[in-house]
Amino acid sequence: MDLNKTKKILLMGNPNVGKSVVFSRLTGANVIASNYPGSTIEFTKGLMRIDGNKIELIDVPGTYSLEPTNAAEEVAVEMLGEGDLIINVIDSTNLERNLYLTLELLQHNTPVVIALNMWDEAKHNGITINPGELEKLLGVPVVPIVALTGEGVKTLLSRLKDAPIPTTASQSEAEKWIHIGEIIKKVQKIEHRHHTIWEKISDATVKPTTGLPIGLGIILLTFAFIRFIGEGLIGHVIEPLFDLYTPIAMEISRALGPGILHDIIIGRLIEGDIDYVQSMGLLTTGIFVPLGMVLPYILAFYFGLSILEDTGYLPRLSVLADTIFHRFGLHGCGIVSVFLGLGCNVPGALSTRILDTRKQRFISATLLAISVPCMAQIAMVFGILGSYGMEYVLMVFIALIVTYVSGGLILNRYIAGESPEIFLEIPPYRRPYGKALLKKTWMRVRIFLMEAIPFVFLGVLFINILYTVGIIDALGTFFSPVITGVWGLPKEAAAALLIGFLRKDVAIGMLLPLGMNPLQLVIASTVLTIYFPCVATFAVLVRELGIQDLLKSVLLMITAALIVGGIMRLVLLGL
Amino acid sequence: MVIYLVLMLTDLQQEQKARIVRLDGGYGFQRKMRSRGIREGKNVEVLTRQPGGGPIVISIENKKTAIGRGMAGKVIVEVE
Repeated sequence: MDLNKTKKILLMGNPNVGKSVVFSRLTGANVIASNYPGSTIEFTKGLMRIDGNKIELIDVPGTYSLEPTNAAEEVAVEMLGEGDLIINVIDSTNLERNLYLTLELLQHNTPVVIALNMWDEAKHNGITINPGELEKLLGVPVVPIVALTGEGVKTLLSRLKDAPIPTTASQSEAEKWIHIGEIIKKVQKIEHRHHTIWEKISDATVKPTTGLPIGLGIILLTFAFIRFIGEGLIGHVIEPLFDLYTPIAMEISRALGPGILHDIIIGRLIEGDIDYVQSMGLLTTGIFVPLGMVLPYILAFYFGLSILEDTGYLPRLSVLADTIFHRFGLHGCGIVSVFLGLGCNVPGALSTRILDTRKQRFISATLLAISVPCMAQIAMVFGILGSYGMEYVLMVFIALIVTYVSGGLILNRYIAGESPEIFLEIPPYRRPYGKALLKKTWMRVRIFLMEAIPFVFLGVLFINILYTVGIIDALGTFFSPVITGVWGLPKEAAAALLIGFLRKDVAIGMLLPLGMNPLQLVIASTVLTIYFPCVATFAVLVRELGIQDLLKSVLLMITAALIVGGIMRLVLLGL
Repeated sequence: MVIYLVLMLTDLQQEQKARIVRLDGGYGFQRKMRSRGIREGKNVEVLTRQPGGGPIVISIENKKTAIGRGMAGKVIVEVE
């Protein structure tokens, strides 16, 4: 293979064999890799340089065979025609099963190089593979690597040029398995070894009697951790910093003097002072909400989530949750979307792709949009309702959980289509790799900063303009039959609902100046979650569901907001 | 003489071991199972059975897979 003519290289392999880690190694680009099947649902492109040649590397979603069984796998098969060379990443601890895809790949006219990844883990597990012999039998370069540490990656690159166009004759499925059996007999030796402590833990976390209490404990612990870190950062880092900043902002305020420019940049002064939540200026609320109230929780959440992902706990949670999620027309993997959605609904909506059918994806995405609040919103709910007492925060969560569950039960009954069962590989537990963990947390936090800050600014700017032109008042009056009549809220809440399209965190902050009692705030916070997702999520939903299903979904969101908000009003406020 | 009992995967109890003898299903089903390591001739152990008709977690050559009851019912095994 002449590398001067190579333009595109594909990384292909079974799910959860470490393709994304290899991708990061080769391109230096940052992609999210986790210890569960299906963490790459869309292909990612990056550039790498070999001997001065710029080559595009594509991280293809994992697939067990070239006959796809879900949407993510379909992406993989479509990509196949585009590559000039394939790096087939194989999990060395699972050689036999991985070779099936390899034999399929060898039937295409694209050169293949094999990377035997997780070489260290295989050795540790008493598995010995002879790479030289495997190379001879398959007729393509075979290189053992440990992608996580980078061991063998240079050798892999140096062998790319040795890849010939494969000449394997077409084989039936049965012939392939016989062929694999022969190969395995010649290249692999397995020594028996005793169960390790990790395996005992592994068993304990999927057995229902021990697994359910452990699972509940882990979830509670994770949220306690997020709150502890979030509040700690706010109290000890963020507030002192903003205390230093306040005199500067006041100076700017004085320099600007009263007028529209002051309203936009600093906002309204409350009793002569800046109020970071209520002032609604770009340099006050505009930076305080994303950096001062939300960022600490986002940091803590993504660090916690990354630990759950990299250890391999999430697939076990999926198994434990399967029985319940099956009632919602989903299966256990649906819980992964909920977890990702709690960080940000955008990756949550994207992850619905790992589900098998249109019905499942529709239910999962709709429930996500309706009743899973993102961390930005949760942080604001904590910040604002928390000051009245944790019982109010709890009310919001209980209302949302009840909505998720009843929504799931109803949708499963009335949405046509199939709900296939769970069929999920459970990876071994792995010790999270510190550097990878921090890098992944930082990547996600950076995405938050890049997306949140412009939208928060836009939101704050919008509010000021709308107030000045008087649209908010007109809207409030127009929607007052719903806002006041159904939900029992002041009609000025219309402004928050409008801004909620842009950013839910700012929207919740806008509820504060309306002088509502804590119970009204509970209703407003819940309705703000349910009625509509933010534009970023909406854009993803258009793509994932298609216009027709999206319209159905939006109708359900509005209905749910009316019903749930109405019931809460009756229960909490009475008539 | 060893007597073999032919059962469905769903009939096995927790920690029971067996050998897969047949996959009862269409071509697509068989292919899907095999490509994920659930194949004729493999030894299988049931690790857990989730309550309320939930999935069964099996181990084949130390690789663990969660499989729904419907699918597991089409995996035919033999025990001594």
